[in-house]
Amino acid sequence: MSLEYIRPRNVEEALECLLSRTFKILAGGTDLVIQLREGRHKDLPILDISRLSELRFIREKDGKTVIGALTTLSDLLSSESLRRTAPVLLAAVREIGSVQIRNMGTIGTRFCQIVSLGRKGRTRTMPLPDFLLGPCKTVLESCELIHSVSFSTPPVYQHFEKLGERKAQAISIASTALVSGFKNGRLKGIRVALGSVAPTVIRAKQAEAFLESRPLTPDMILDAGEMAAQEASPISDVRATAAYRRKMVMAMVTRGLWPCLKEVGESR
Amino acid sequence: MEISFILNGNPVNAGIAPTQTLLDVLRESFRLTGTKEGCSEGECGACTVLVNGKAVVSCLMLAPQAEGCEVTTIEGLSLGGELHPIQTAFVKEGAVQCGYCTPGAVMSSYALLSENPRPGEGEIRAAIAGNLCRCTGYQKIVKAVQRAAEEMDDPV
Ligand SMILES: Cc1cc2nc3c(=O)[nH]c(=O)nc-3n(C[C@H](O)[C@H](O)[C@H](O)COP(=O)(O)OP(=O)(O)OC[C@H]3O[C@@H](n4cnc5c(N)ncnc54)[C@H](O)[C@@H]3O)c2cc1C
Ligand code: FES
Ligand code: FES
Repeated sequence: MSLEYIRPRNVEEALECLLSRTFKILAGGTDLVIQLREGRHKDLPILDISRLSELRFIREKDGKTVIGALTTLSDLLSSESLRRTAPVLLAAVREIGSVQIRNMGTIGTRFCQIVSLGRKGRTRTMPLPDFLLGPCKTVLESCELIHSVSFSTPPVYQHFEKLGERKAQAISIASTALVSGFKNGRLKGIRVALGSVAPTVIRAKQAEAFLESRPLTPDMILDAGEMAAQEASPISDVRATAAYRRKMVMAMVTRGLWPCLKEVGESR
Repeated sequence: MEISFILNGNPVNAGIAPTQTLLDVLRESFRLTGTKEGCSEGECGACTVLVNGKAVVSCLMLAPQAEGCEVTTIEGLSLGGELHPIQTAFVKEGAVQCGYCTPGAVMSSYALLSENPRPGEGEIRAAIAGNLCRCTGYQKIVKAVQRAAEEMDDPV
């Protein structure tokens, strides 16, 4: 295990450290401490950013939410504004680990649309798909910190579902998040995200485009579920086979879409 | 390195290695062996303690992260040798069999009842979802928390 531990007083100091040499960054520790115990990162000093309160905030302004990287998952669950604007995010967060893990784990290591990376004297901001390169791989450089994540307020209809082997503390087999608005009998701004069925979280873009192309019907929902299942590229592992995962994408996407039929009707 | 924090209400210091976990320091430096080590991976909750009032798994917290914090362990609930009402309820409801999960389950229940004195059954189950028990089947633990909530709300 590494023997050096530094706790910077502010973001500025943290970024200076990161520029001077390579560190292992410690936030909530729920991944990193397990890795340390396994004997990984032996020679790297630890930079404990968990107390940088500058990076622990939830701000909402002009239809945009910005969340500091060190905001804990529990912080999100007790946010009134997120409860109003992004229940789909909270539904997903509620499924992560246990109370203890959510009290420790931070959002910076997780999903959301846009990621801002701070490095001394420079900040870069990018869409999430550009940030994620593959399982546990991102574009983050060793001199950079994740500063915050942001997203535009999602439309009114929001749905999240996670399939695991049991209810508590299960690593997901597949998950889906779905948001949409409604206009003149059609879905508007539909987004379909699929988790654990590709190297990173993906959007089912063909299904999205198809669903917006004409007024929603029950047949379209079934076809969209099929499309999303084809867009996934799952693997077989200890939790499930690839074929099962594909079927579950179909089931979960259609389940998320059925309530839209009623809402669409009301928007006509 | 040296750390200082508040342990069960008392200011303490300890000489530690930076990558020791809070769990190791509690058990080995302070000999507070009520806090158990089960999985060492955050899954089982046997090592649950409160840090600044929040339930955390002490096996995934590095000891230096406790600097300046208020840490409460199971020993801190029964100060003066009197069992805390949650502990009494666990005993009365038979929520303890081998007892290995009990300190962690009691600490999670304590964190819950501090924030939410009248939790529903669903809320209780969510609060202890991170505390695995191989013996009781959970039913009695849930009952114990319900009983503790009633008794703490309405002390006789
Ligand atoms: C028992 C258990 C159950 C879990 N269950 C689930 C689950 O159901 N679903 C799920 O999705 N996940 C689950 N997880 C994973 C958990 O959500 C993540 O471990 C957590 O979100 C990581 O956050 P952290 O702050 O603890 O990260 P840390 O462990 O502190 O850091 C993780 C990595 O990110 C880097 N890092 C952290 N913050 C920054 C930053 N601001 N800038 C740059 N790099 C940074 C670190 O260097 C490290 O490499 C579980 C974990 C455990 C232990
Ligand atoms: S020992 Fe910490 S959660 Fe199991
Ligand atoms: S009483 Fe034995 S594990 Fe819970």
